[in-house]
Amino acid sequence: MLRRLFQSERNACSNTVIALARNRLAQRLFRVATNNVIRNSFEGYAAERISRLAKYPVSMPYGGPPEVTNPDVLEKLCRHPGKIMVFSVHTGFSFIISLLAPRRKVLSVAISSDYGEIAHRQSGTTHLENIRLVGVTPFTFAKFMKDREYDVYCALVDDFHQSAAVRDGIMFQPFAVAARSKLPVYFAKFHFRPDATVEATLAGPFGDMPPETMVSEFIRFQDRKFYPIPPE
Amino acid sequence: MRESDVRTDLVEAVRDYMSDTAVPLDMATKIKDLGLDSIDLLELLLKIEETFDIELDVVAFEKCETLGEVAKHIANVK
Repeated sequence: MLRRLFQSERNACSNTVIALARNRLAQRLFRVATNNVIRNSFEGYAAERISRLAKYPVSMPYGGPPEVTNPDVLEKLCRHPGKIMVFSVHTGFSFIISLLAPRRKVLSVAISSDYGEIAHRQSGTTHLENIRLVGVTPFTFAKFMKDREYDVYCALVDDFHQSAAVRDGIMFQPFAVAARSKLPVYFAKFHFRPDATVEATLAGPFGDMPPETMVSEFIRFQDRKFYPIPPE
Repeated sequence: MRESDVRTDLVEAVRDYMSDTAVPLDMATKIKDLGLDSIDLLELLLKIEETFDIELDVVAFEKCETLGEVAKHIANVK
């Protein structure tokens, strides 16, 4: 019974996104009424908002784990020995975590544990015992390197705050840390399809390059614009 | 190990990670004023562990605001 209810919630979320995406008036109203801070595609943003409407403790998980377009890279990432870093951008969902937690111990960097937990619920993340949420401080990387269990460092590196630490909408520091520590880095991106499913693409490992080059590679891989750009 | 015994070795360990060696270091110096980035902090932590032959808990270390508090923490762990 509970399983069926869970499944129907998931379908309700996906179906609402599909209906919204097909209706131009609904799209316009939705855009006017809300502020797409994380600059998702329309489908992604609608999914995030609808999913969040359900709120704690029954946040509505979005249509299952993403479908990986290049499973060979996922396999390589999961089998990579030792500590690695995975960078992606905000979608409102913890898609990297939901992909990796079933197979690896992941340290997830979050502005606050509240955001992290909501994102985990919304993405229907399983294997919560394999996730360690850590806040952003100068000691975050030390916590990761000294942790004997959690060996995947997962960070979302886009940032709409304009500062010296942010270049082309991307935080420079994680790339600088990756370059100095010489840890292998993987990139991940997620695309919300019109049928309300999610597609994941991974790349890597990257390493042995200046952080500036890695940031450029990351932006090229994501193939979309980041902050600062005027709101819609 | 007594806190007073820790201080000299701690200041020496920290000095290795300072880009500006002219900055005076004492027990009132704040960690955040040392100008260390994420990797400097990790390396400093490992250096302290090696110097004093201890294992530090990062969360506890993070709570120390000054070198004096770090010295106290090291003395407690020893």
